[in-house]
Amino acid sequence: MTVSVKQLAKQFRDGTRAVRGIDLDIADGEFLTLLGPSGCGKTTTLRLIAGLEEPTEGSISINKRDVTNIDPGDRNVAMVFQSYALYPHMTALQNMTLGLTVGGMSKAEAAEMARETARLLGIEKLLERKPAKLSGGERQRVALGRAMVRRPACYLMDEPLSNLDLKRREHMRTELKRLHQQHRVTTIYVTHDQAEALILSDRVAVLNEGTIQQVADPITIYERPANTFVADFIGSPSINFLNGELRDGAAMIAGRRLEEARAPGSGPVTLGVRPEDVILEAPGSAVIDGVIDFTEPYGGVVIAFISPQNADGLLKEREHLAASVDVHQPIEIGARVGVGFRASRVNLFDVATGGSLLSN
Amino acid sequence: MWGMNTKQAINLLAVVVVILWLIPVIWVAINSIKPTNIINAPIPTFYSFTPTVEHYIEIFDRFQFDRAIFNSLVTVGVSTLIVMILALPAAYAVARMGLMRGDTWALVILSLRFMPGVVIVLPYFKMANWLGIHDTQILLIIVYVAFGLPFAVWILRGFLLDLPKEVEEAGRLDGLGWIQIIFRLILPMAAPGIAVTTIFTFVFSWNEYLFALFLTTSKATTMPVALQKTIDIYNVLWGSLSAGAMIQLLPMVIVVFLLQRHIARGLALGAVK
Amino acid sequence: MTVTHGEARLSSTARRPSRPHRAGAVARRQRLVAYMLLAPAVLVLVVLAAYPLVFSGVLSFKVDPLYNPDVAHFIGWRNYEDLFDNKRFWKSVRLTLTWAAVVVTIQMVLGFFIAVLLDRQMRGAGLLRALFIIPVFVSPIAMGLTWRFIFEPVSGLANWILNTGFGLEKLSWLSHKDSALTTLMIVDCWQWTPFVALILLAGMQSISPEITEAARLDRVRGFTYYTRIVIPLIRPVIMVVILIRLVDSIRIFDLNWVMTEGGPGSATLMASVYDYTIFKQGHLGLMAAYGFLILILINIIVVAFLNSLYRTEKAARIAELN
Repeated sequence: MTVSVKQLAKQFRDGTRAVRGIDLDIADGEFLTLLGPSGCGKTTTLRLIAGLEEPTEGSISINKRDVTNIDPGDRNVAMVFQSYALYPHMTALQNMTLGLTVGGMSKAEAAEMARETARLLGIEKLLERKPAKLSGGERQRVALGRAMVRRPACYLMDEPLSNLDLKRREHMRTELKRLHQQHRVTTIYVTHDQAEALILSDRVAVLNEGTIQQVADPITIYERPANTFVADFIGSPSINFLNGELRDGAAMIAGRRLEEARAPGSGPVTLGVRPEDVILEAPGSAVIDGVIDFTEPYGGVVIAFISPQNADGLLKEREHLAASVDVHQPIEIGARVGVGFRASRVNLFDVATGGSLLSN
Repeated sequence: MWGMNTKQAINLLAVVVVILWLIPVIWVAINSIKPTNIINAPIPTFYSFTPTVEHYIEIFDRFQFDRAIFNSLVTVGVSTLIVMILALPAAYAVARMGLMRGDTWALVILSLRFMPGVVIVLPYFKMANWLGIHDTQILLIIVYVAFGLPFAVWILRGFLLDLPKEVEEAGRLDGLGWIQIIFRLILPMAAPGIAVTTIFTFVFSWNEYLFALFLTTSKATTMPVALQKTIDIYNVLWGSLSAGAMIQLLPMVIVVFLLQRHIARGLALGAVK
Repeated sequence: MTVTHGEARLSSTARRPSRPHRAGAVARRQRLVAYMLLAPAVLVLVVLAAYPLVFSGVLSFKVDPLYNPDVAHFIGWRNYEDLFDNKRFWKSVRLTLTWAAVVVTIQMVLGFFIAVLLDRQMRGAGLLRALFIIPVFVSPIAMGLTWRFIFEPVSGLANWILNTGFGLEKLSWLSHKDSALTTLMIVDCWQWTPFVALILLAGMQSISPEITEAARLDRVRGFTYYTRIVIPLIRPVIMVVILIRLVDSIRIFDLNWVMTEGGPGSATLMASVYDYTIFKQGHLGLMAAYGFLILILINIIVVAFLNSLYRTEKAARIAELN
């Protein structure tokens, strides 16, 4: 089932403009994630689609039916809340069947459906328990089961994994991915965790200050960010921004020409270089020279933080250039190194607007 | 002090304070089973007497306490029921439904609780005479509803504001209507709050004296008024008073014991939210 | 699966200027339901509480003898003028205000200390609290009369304890005009200090353990802990308790009536009891006028109180920002 959102805007009574004109078309069976920092409007957007908030402007259609003015219960969507929001006085089974019996289904039939869903999630044994007697992970599954059992047109998930510990979160993440690939139910997922977004989604919509910055598949979002906000928000450790210059269709840094970093026009430009695209070489042989100030081990790789030498004003905002180095490559704090860039993977951004200059 | 540390000393102090505080209540209980001559003796005693039930018999025989109990149960029970039926939806509307200035509503409603009884009782007195319902249970029920409702809405509102909002939202997404949300989600979730509010409403009317004094003469007299007749210009029967007081206190004490934890929390919630 | 490269919009302003908040269809429906839920209670309150209020207001401008209703007629402000000219009226007002100030102060201070005393982890703490709250729920009539018995000058428990227990002189308690008010205060504090203590206790126990632990790590202890951490945190609870107790003390009737009927003489003749004596004399108009004045007095206090509460709250928030 498709979900379509047009020119959606929400201003709260206190004047906060949480959502400022959002357009989204979600295809049937698609897993779309709304990703952004806190306060970017992602949860409000989800609640608008659910019908828990009413838009100030714009419209929402589910399966080509305009539902903008329809009660949440009649939209045929199911939501998984961050706090799970299980009915505390009902057993897991009753939690799952309430939505069905309210819709007119017989108790026996509803219970049968709930059992079937419970099997799928491995919670058959928990059905007679109340939420207070369930662990965090178990509650999460029951909440998921309550959403699934209704066979809705669309799942809405509001940071459903954020209350789990790391191990369980990774496990449930895989589980969610598996369930989605099996059943292909349209899902809109809200998170601030980029790893979750990149792993789970068919497409990711990055939001900031109530507007969409970019909608694209996870690989594009990472490799070809539409602007400096997206480039900066996605990726850990963060992307390096360098001040450069465009001349004759290619970028220049510290007087060196990066032939494969190409964009039309000329003048100042911002280069975005991911740490894994920074290459350490012998001093004097690369684009610039620098000194390794400190390192952060990340397991398989080590991030070296390098302060450039004789290249004032090269770095934007930060003092260090982050380079991702294989853990087996010997590096020494205080050592002088040459720094090069994998030019074909460098992103170029307009200095004034922050928009990408690469043609996609 | 006997090798106690500060902590134990403070614990002991707490116990002592509470016991001292309850001496008057203990005194009532003891007097209710003391023979009259010992009650009136110049030297009070806590234990050296033969227990008797004479006062419990007397309060029914001479002061028609059976009727007072019945009147109290009917007026207080019915009025509490009506208050709760009206208060729950109102509290929900004020607490949760995005009603404009929900806090203002709560404040207006609460300010009605602050009305002095002497202002309100007179119109009821006149109305009762005019409608010919003076000294009836219906009249007292009406008054107790009017006085119990504001406080009930206020306390319930505090409890409702303390419930997680997402659960109701989950209910809306499951297709529940407002009435279903109230009855199938709010009612069970707010059960302790509802119990506490019921107790407060009940206790207020159960102990109420001013209205009962003004608006009843004999037929509809409730326990507090009946009690007072044991100590007036015609009688000074401390034993009967104590027996009647015990009958009136006991149900309250039991209920308070059962709900003690929720009671204080309920008031604090009402205050903060 | 369709994977499209989404459009990138860089400006963070919406294309159209947004209109101010406006209720949509769902919100309108919700509001309608809300009013429907509120309506029965409001209707009942208007009929049962607001109407008598108006009635009483009108009555306060009339002469309306209880035992001769046929001669009732309007007399303008006369009832109020009569009250203002009456020394006993002013005395009852002074007495009531003094009473309220004293009992509320004692109850707050004592209640706070007892709350601190009960705010601890110990076996049987729940039982102790349950026992302690009993006075709040017993009827003022039953206990008021019992207290009269306890304060009986000759055979009362109070004098026996004073005399036999401490070797002190027997007191006249309620029967003398100099001690009657104080005695009444003792009883009122006995009944209502537990109420104050237990609400403050509930407030104290709602303070998160992390804050308490942080304070302990900062070596904030004992007296400082309560003045610098606890009191500021439970301030709203404190304010509401004061408000409730203040209003209830001004309205006091039950205890006052069953224990002293305002006497001896007019030593304990506080507002509500005074008003009741006017009723017994049959001056319904005058009674309504006094009742109204009590109401206005209470409202002034409530409004002033809430005002100062909100103002200091606001000041605190501004101070926080700076």
